[in-house]
Amino acid sequence: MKTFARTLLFASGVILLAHYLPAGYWLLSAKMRRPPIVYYSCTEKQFMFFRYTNQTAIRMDAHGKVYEREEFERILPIDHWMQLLRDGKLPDTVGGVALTAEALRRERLSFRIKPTMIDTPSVNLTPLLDADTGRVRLEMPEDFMRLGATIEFIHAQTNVVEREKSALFQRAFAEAGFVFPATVLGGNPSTMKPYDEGYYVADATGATFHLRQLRGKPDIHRVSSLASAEDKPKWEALKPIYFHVQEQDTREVHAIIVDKSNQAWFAVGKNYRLVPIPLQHYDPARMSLVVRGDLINRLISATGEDSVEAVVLNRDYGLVDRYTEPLVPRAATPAGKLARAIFPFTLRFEDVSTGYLGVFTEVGSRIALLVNGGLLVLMLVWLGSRKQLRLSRLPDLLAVAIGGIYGVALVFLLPKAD
Amino acid sequence: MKLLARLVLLVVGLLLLGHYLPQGYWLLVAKRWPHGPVVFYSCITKDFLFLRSTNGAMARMDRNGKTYSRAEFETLLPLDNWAQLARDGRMPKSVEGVELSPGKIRYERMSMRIRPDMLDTPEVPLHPLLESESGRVRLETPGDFMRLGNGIAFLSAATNAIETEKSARFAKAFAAARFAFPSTVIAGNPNILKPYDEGYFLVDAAGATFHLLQVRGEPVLRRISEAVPAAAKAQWESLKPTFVHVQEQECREIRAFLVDQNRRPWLVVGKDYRLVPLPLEHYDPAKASLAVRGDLFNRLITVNSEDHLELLAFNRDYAEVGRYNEDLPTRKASEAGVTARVLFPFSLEFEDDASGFMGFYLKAGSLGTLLVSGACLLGVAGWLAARKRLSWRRLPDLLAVAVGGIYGVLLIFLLPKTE
Amino acid sequence: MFKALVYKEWIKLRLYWTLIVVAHLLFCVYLCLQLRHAFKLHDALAVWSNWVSKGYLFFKPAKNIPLLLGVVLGCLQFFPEILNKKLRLVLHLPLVEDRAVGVHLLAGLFLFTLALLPGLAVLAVCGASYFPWEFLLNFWYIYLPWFLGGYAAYLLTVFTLVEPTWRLRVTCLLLSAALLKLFYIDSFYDGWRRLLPGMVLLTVALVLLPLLSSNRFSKGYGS
Repeated sequence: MKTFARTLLFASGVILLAHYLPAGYWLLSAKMRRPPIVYYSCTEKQFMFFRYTNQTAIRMDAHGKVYEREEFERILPIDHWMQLLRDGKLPDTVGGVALTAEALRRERLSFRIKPTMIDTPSVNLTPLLDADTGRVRLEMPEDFMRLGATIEFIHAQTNVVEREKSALFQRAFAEAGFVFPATVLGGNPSTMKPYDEGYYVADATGATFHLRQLRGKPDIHRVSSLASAEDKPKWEALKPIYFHVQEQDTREVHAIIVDKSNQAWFAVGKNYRLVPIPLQHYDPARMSLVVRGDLINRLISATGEDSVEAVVLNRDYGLVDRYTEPLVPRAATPAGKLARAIFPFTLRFEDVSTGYLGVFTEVGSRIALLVNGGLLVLMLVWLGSRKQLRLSRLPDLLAVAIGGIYGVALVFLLPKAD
Repeated sequence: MKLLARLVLLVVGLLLLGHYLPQGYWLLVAKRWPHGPVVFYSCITKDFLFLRSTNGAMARMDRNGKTYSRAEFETLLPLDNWAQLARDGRMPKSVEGVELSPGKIRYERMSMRIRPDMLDTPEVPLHPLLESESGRVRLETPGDFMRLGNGIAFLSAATNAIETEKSARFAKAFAAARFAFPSTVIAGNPNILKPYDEGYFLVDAAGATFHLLQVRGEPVLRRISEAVPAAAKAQWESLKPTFVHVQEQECREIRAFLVDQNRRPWLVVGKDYRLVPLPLEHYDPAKASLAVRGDLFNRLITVNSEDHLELLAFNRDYAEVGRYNEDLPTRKASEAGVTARVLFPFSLEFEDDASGFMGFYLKAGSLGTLLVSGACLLGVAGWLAARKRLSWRRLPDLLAVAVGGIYGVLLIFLLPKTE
Repeated sequence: MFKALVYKEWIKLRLYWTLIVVAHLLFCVYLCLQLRHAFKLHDALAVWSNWVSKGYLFFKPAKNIPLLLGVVLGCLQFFPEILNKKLRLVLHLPLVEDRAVGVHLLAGLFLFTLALLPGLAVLAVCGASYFPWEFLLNFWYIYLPWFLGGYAAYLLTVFTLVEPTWRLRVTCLLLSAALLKLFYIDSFYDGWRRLLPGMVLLTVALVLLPLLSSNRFSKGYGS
């Protein structure tokens, strides 16, 4: 019994140290590391970069040539159009497209999808705005929509289900062929946007539906039946895990969809054209996706801890150019290598890939095995010299064998076995 | 010693009950208090319009109580509702001969709000001085902070040290302008999300107002009384502002709002620092909030205090074109408020809406509370006498009931008896 | 007699006191390391701006330590005395009763102050190396109410523990909670400035309250 209790003590100690020692290590040795910002020059037809180094930032092209701020801004006229306009240096046209302040301001796209948006705790109640009130400003509704095994609307002030409205929507869903329960829901529950796109919902079979409220009435359609003949099979084959809705002034992009095979798609235009984003290494759980669109191009970059990949699409969503660059992950820096050598494993309860808490383990390098072995030998020798090498010391030795320095620290912190 | 200790206990007890009991009362009793009306000035009817919420419903009216539908109301306020009117095709092409375009309307919109706690609030005495003419389209955060104490110094955040060269250059400019340290008012807007940078308005120890800018790294410091036309010089020299508020607007016309040594409000307007007085009758900067809203044709000044609403409208030349006054119902005068002021002889709070500082904010009850306290005192004295415990040693307790009314009664039962 | 009483208190508390000093010091060092980490990962300018305009203070996690320490010290010092009514022995010594209790309180307050000072010194030195002197002023104005709250917590804990009857202990607890809450109202920069003199006076006046309880204790109420 005592040995069992002691083993439990050592086990908990190793787990705690595996969380706190690496945290303390990084508190002391962490340095600022920012990935480069990728730009695409529509005049030079090449990628440009804003790179952060120790304490400064450098502007470069893909060949490593360094640029001064003015030259950099000249090569990226659309990203810096306001400054160039003020200095009188904005070109009149680029590639036959006229650069007017009005067009530049209007034709902007900006999306950002972070891994935590895809897997995050959220209350299953969300406001369904009225997209067609005749008013120029959107207004928050007085009720919340609950879309799960059924669809219901709950009035916030009274905390009561609105029977009529809920029944109306339930019928509309049934008529549209929606199979409950809903599996994925995506929308933008804010009034600070130019119009309301509504929600995209995947039903139990994985089919995508588009839901809006128009003057109090439901507007729900199976997207594949609204799409053109060539897009219909693509919609039917789509297995979405995440819908990203972020209404833009141009109203061109309905949503960005991430599917089960880590492919990201644009849903575009009146006929819900489904355009794949041709990234080759996009891992939605570990990389941020940033879309910046302007009058000429769409630049999509996926940034993770160990790589950054960017693709450029033209206004018809045809691929123009591609760039990939490996980044040095923290584990490959000198501090990271040292950490992986001395910590046989580390334990975290939060991770960049999700908004949920969990148990996230990382294993050390092969050197850590050697370190563990060495420490075990030292421990055996030390115990042997004090004539304390006994069976009751097995938990201690196991802790050193598995936990390396965690085990050594515990042997000295915890009471001796008798 | 024992007597002193009991006194301390009673005083602390009274103060605590005076703080927590009224808080508890309002927690139970408070209802959503109706706001004062939202006010507008119509360039079409040349009068004020009000959006009032009564019992949860919205009513749109003019000063005579005539009500309007939402569509009529929006037609009378084209500059506030141009997006909706444009969408419905009801937007007039011009008003008073002036052509209306969305760009022009947006450019001329301005708003500024001064709350009483802005005049009395703790502030770290380090101010970022932006570069006002970098040639860049956006303002940039400076890498240092300006410290104006008994001299001027610039501190670099990265090194936590004084930038000696820059500080010396600015010190020379301050000396040349005969600035008398220390500064009594330092007012600017340390945000970079603004259309341009107005720098800081400073008031020196002698009460003179200065304007400080950083232009291409060099200090530009003007004694305002020397930078204005001769006609205004005397006005600026006699002005000793106690509060200045800077909030840069797109149209760059109103540069600052200030309150002088007599608590009168002024606007500082235009390139020549023209002083425009605001002839308000009910404005106490320490108690009321003031809003300045402007559009293509007018400036509307709204003063909201707890019990009163005052409005003043100007045209673009700052000539007065409208004035309005209305008393508002106060929470104090509501049923719950009257009851509270009778029950509680005083209430104590440590924070106040009118100040950012914590303090000892004591509010007295109404005269009715004297009756309640008197009754409590008689009750307690009678009760003690009945138990034959009325003696000199119970004087502190009786004082507590006399001063603290129901607080005192509660204390007597909560605390141990004196022997 | 006084020296003997003070020494007796020291013997009783010295082990715990040392642990507290070391633990507090380590905690303050940890806060300093967090500040260093913040300066490494962000622009110095961003950290300063966060302080000047949003009131970010690296020592804020230490807010409740004086309060906890006051309660703990009060308990450590006076639990042994009231268990088995040992306090009676002290009160029967040839000393004015108030003076005897007063010496105990002084010893406790002195140990309280000494326990926090090393950690506070570390925080001050660290703050001064990253920020200008305005930060030290900020530190003073924000920490002082917490510190006074710690003194008050100690005095009120003794007041509550020494009170012999349970009915009034409840009153003491209510009063303590209600009063201590006030010391921990958040403010910005020197927002506490106008209330500090009053808070100091109040804290000093609170010294008298334990004397009330000890008086009732010695009279044998509730036994």
